[in-house]
Amino acid sequence: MSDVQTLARDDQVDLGGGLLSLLRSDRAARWTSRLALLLLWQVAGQLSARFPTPVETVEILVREFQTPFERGEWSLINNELVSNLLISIYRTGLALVFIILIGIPIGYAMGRWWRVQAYFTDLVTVGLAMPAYMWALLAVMWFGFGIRAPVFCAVVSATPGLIVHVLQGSLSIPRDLRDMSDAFDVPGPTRMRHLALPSMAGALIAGIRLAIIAAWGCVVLVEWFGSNEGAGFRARDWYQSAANYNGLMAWGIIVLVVVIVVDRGVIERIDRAVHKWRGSVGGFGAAKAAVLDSIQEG
Amino acid sequence: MAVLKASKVVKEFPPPTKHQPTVRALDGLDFEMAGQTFVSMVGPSGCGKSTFLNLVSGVETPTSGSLSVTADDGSAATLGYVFQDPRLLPWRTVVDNLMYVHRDKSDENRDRLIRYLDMVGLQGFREMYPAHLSGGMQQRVGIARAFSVEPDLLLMDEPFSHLDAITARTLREELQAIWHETKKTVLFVTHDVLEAVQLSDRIIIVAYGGKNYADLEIDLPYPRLQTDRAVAGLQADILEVFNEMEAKRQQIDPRLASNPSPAGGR
Repeated sequence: MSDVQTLARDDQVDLGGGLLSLLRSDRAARWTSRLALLLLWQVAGQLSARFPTPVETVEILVREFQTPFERGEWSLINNELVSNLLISIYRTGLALVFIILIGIPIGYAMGRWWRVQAYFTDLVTVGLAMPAYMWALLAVMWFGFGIRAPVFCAVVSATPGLIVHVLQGSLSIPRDLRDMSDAFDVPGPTRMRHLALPSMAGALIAGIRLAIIAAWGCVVLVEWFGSNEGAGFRARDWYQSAANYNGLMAWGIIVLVVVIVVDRGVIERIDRAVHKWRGSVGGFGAAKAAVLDSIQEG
Repeated sequence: MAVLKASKVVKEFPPPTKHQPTVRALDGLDFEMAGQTFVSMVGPSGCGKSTFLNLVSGVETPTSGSLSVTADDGSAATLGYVFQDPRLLPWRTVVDNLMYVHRDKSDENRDRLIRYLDMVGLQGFREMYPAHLSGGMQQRVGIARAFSVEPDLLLMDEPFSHLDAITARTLREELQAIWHETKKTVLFVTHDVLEAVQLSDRIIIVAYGGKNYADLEIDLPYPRLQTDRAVAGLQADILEVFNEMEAKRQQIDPRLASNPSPAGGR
């Protein structure tokens, strides 16, 4: 009987300790922050008629999901929510292909050869200084409605930032490892794969992360100014045609969610995979363990 | 094995600023070595020893003079290089660091490379990252990498200078054993006279300014220990040569008397 009572007491202690450690965890901090934001949003919505509450926003999104896109048959893809979102994602994806194909070689070459750096420095500075909305207006004037204006705007706005990141990464390739590669006559493609890209990985991922955010913002902005489809167009449509703040807020939230999902779901995973070797570093104790293992195996 | 010939080699570097003179690291250095030999190039810091290795390896090119490295049969020589610091890719495992310098990326070659890790006592560490290893173990990986390319000429640039005394002593003894097993042509750069006497069968002394000063045969039986009386005696003799060299330098320019040569005397 006394054994049972002791066990029950121990269980209670474990439960209390586990709950305490959960409350102190990073996960708890993240969820507390998210809930606080949601609460703040709700309070703001209660205080102002022009500020939709979370519930009103979700209602609009549900309505968008239920409305067929361009008078066609409704389906999981053919509805106002998903179709417009996919159009914007496609435009951003296409722009990113150009941004990466242009930005990475130029940034790498600028770090590798000073003449290339001298040639492109002023152009990159101009590109960085030009505000995205200026490019957006010019793009709509030059290309009109359609896919070319948002893709052009995203490419010219986001590429200079990626170039600067890749340039920094290119400059950070360790000189001693380059000399080692020269001494062993390591071929160019092997150097690129095993030396240059891993050295530049941090800067490259940071640059692509910012390029995605910038390109997505540009595409939505151009769609707002001059498009008849896409997330930006739909947000403007709710705002201008229907004077509906709930619709504007709902599309604003969706634009944010896409960025967060791509950042957390794709970029952070790539970042972790690329830098896995850092996490696996266990100090000299790991080496000692390997010796003991090899002795046991032997 | 390889044949290395250098004749009147001059290497100048551009001045650090506009108003400074050109930096001459080597000034007409003559040098020749061939066959199963372990040659050490000894001299004070800044005399151009490492620059000479960089010229031999092709990392730098000479300003004037001629320099050629060929295999015994006259074809282009394969070079191995052990640096002062290990220079390993931190994001690749030990065995992948060896694979990096090989064109043959096959699994058979990967298996073959493990033999070189065994040779330096790292058989249990092949899948570990360099940061897992101590400084001495990392330098062993550097040595295994250099031997793994089966070089005609092995260049070693003060490979033990960054290690603690005990690790360096162990690695010197291991290097002697490996060299006796492989009998490669080795050019070893150091400023430590005792280390040079222990390892080499010939010592080239390079003077300040990158000029030849002396060429000495070391006729002592292997294996040698730093504590051997004969090794210590020869070290003392060579340090006398260094003192003589320093005295001549001070005769040429008396202002250098307050800045004696930093030749190693361990």
